[in-house]
Amino acid sequence: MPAKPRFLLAALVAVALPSAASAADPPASIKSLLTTCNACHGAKGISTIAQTPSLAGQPDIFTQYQLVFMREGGRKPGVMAAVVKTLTDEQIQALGAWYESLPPPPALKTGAAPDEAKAMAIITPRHCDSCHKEDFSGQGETGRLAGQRPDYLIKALKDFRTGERRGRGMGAMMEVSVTLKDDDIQTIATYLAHKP
Amino acid sequence: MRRQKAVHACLVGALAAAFGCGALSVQAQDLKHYESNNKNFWLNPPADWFLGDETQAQKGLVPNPGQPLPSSQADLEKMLANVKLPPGFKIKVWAQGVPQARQMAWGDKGTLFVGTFDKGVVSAVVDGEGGKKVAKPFITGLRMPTGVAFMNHSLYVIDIDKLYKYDNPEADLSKAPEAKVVYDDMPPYVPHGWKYLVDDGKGGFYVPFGPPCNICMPPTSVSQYRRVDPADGTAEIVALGIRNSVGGAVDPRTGDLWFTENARDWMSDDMPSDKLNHVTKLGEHFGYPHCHQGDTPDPKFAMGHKCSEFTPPVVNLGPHVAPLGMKFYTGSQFPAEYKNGIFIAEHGSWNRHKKNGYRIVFISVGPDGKNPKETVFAQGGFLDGEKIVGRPADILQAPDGSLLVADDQTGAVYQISYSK
Repeated sequence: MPAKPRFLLAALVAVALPSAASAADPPASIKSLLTTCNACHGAKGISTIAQTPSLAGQPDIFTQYQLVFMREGGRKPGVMAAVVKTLTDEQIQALGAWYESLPPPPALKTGAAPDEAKAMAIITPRHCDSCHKEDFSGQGETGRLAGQRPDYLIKALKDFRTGERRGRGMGAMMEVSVTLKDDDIQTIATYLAHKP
Repeated sequence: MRRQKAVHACLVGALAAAFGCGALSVQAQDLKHYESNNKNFWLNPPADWFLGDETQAQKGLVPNPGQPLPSSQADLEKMLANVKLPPGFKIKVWAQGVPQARQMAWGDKGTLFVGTFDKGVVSAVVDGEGGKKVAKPFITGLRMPTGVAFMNHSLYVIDIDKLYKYDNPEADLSKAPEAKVVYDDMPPYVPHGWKYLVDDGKGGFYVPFGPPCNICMPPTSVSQYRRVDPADGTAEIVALGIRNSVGGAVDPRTGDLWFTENARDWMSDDMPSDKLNHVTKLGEHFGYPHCHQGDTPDPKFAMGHKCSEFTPPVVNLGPHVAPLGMKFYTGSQFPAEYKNGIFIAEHGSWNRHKKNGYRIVFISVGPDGKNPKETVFAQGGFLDGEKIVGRPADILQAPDGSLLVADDQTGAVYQISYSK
């Protein structure tokens, strides 16, 4: 009789203890692939490398679309070329889900101070929040901007401005970027990087 | 979320007042608004042009972003297990991995050609290993090749403002023949510019032209159906007053053109209804932009017209159901009551809080358009609660009398068969 409760207790404990390890485990299809991703994008999807974006907290569909475009030609892959060439559909879907599950990068607290009024004067007429949402966390096929590396935001906006990067469909990003001055880009990037 | 927005708007407003930035408009951040009744809008539309008539009641609704990759076989089978059909009918995966599948057309050697929306390719679906169908990109580098057709050993593809012809494409499916442009007297507008090809059985195509806006007084080159003769590049307007049609078929009993039509957005969740229309004479006007669903004058664009001036729909299919591809059934596999009836693929709503459509409906109707009866034919599975799983986009009969269904969300083609 004493053995039973102990067994039960052990069983209950085994069930009750949250499997912290498995909650953070990526699926088998991308487990070893992530070693490559993490080298640049950071172990938790938070990048510490210049011009390299954080991926943590990016919407699933957004990440999938970017990888598909890089693999199939809608977006110049650049340094990603070798990686995307061998990505399977299953891996792309797994990567999308994985990065969405990671806690997003914390808001930047250092560097130049953001100027919200100046940033909003640039952002408001371009309706950035329509797609990126009011908190800039992104949704669906639209990327999360809040907490992104400012140097990457600058690179992205400049690439959209020149058409080096096209974005999806009818070129919304090119259209809103074409009238941005360098100072505007700096202002927006600083503001968004500091956004929680 | 609302409170956050109000605080934010107040902050902006306060700052504007403090710094004298009178030009800052708090309203600009509230409802999306574009003036769409002008040429500049049509030629240089904002990327979210379809949001420009946003109302408070329907604020925040946006179209579905689609799926980056085709659904797996397992996911498709899981979805199809939930599709309800009438007794005796079954649905299965006919081809997996047909990205963004839109209009379908049979080659004369058994190849299925399938268009896409903005992926810009036309796929060729052929037999692969183990009896599985395999899709490969056959034509690439297009813009929005939603409409395909096969006539006299040639594949036709319509891409916004160009009708391309590819001769004898099945001779070598590893390389598409050079495209010939057989008709391009078409306006360049991309909004609602994606098209469908209706084979008229007489060597020509009926081609829909949508207005480059949600609601506006459209340029005279659109809001219509034309009959195009690909042999000599001539065309004539056959019907007017049409909004966005991406599906039509000729009634085998009469030769008349029937077509589906997507009505305007941003009136309300329940108004106006999408339509099934019947053309009985040249130049018939179906109401747009003045009148919707046969009986509702537009609040801004009625312009003194009465709805009685226009041809009403044969069937109001329901608000925002998004009817696209349609076909008259002419096979013998299905029970007799389906003969000469119409199957319609309802792509499903985005401008509605509770989703509508996402199914296939069947309409039986007299050749004169009288006594229409609508029944839901295939429903369930495509929607999981309010989550979009699949979106029927086109219907095509197979040689054995079964029905193929293209799904541009999952990137697949299904087959519906009947056995006693």
